Amino acid sequence: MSRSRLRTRVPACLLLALAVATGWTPSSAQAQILFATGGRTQLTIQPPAFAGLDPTPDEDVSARLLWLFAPIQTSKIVASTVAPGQSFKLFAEARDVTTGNAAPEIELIDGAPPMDFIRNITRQSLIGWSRIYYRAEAPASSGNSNLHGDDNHTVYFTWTAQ
Amino acid sequence: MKLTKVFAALVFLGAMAPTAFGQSATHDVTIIVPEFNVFDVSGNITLTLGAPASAGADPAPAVNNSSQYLVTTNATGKKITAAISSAYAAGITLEAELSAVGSSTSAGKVTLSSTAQDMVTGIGLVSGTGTIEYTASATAAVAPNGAGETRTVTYTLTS
Repeated sequence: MSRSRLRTRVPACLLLALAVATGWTPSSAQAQILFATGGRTQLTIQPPAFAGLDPTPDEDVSARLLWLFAPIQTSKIVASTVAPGQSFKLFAEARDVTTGNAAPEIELIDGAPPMDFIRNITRQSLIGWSRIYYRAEAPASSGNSNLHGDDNHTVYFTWTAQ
Repeated sequence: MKLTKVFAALVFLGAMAPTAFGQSATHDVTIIVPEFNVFDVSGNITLTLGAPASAGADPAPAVNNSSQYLVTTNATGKKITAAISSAYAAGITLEAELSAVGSSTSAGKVTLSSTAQDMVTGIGLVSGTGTIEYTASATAAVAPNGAGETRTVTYTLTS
């Protein structure tokens, strides 16, 4: 085996071993891995810059989305959310995407169909990742957490054919 | 792919605790919105009464509507009250009228005193600007007061 092939296969085996060790089970049809890191993200709306303006949005870019073993055909990752009783606005966008193209910023609305998050993922590299940029908005008209409670989102990222 | 890049990824993967594996991944996001009540009033004004319209009449009132108030509240059941720091000399009155913002209700023209009075009620879930119109009046019995009497009007956004 040539040195270059060895360099490709050894890391792949290590990644596979890591994936299996952490609970991933490959299926014959789909052998991709997708996961999000960073734990729970908390966004806290800030006071308005001036009286008469809406409260200031909050944003966070600490979470990451990682994927391994992209399928042969071009694929994409879509995003949706489950947030019962959603009162405030949540937007998301992929940043610093290593493989594929970030879709324009999307608004995550409870129960809405999944929307493109990253497009044009190809098997040009074994792994890929992106930062997950979140932005929360709460205009004065939407009230506050004392009135409605906090918004709790479970954001779903799904790898699918493009 | 360079070995160093993959190794870096491995280190990264090992350092992070994955929250989900497979074709789908989930991520929890919590949005917290504190209550905000922010209020501001623009500018200082001077009101100079005019000459009586006719002999024997009171001086002509002075009107100024160049002031504004700005309010942001993401709560409900708020109101704006107003009071002056102390009463003017006998025979001089200052009235103020604040326009409503959003679905609130203006109390109309209110004669200001050192006791706080409701100016706008039913304010809630709004960010916006309203106008303030002042009207100063004096009776003919009031002697000329030179540079005038200055009072501070205190507006309060309260529940």
